[in-house]
Amino acid sequence: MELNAADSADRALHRALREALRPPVLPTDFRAQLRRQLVMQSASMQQQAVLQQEWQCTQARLRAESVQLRWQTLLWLLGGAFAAGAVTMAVMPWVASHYGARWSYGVPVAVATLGLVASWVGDPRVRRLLAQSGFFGA
Amino acid sequence: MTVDAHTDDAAILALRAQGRLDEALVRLLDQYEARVYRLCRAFLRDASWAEDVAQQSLIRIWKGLPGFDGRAALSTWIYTIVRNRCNTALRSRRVDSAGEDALDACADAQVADPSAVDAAALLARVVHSLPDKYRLPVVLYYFEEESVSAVAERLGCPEGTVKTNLSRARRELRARLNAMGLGDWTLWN
Repeated sequence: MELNAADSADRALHRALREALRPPVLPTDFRAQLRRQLVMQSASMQQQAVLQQEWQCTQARLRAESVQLRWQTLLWLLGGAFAAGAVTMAVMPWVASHYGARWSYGVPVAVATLGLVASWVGDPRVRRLLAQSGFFGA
Repeated sequence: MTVDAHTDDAAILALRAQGRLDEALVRLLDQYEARVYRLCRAFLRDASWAEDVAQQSLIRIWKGLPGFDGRAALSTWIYTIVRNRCNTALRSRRVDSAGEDALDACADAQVADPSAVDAAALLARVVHSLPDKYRLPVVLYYFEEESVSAVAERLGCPEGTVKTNLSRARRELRARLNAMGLGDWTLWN
């Protein structure tokens, strides 16, 4: 008897739950809205792809320019070194004959020292250190 | 998971791979949009919130479909994504859940005149006051045509676990209804 009552209660609860928990119906414009969102997202993804492509092109161009600049610098250095050698060859005999043999060493050493100090001072890290130490003044 | 469902899943994947995107999308939505929405409703309770999360989930599923590796069934993969989305949504809104807790607390109150209450609404409220472990199987069971295997698939757990939780949930429901003075089963006929 008790078992039957429990069964009846179970069945009643089952029926009541079936009534209370009806499957929800999909909103009418669900699919249309989803499609709109997909279109929007795909447009934004396309835009992103275009921007990414542009960025990659810019990167490639900058890399090519940087390589070109390095070659240019190397050639400038070689040219400068040979030009300096040629000038030294031409000028040194004149310096030696007018100011003595000692000056034919002094002038190149002075010019080389000047160049090294100038490049050293031009280094941003050294400039920062000098600025911090107050070398350039307030 | 029936043979038809497997065939449909294979068709969706094949259409997507062939670049027939529109057909693949229609097939995917025909097959899963209502199920995804019902799963979201079961998790989140709120209709518009569930709609938002279902849409996000379906977008995520559509975008991720080319990367689907087929190690699990497509449906398993889809329901995992939906469950994760729902759990993330729930975590992000947990701080705002004080209102819902208050609503749940109403379900524990004594009902003065049982004949005057809207039985279905009240029962739904009592169901929603159950812990998720019991609430989800019960809600999904009735949402999914009373199929234990469908509930197990949606929740990603064995059928035995679903059956156990369903039985415990019913016991808990009866206890709560008794506590509210609604234990007389004739009320529910």
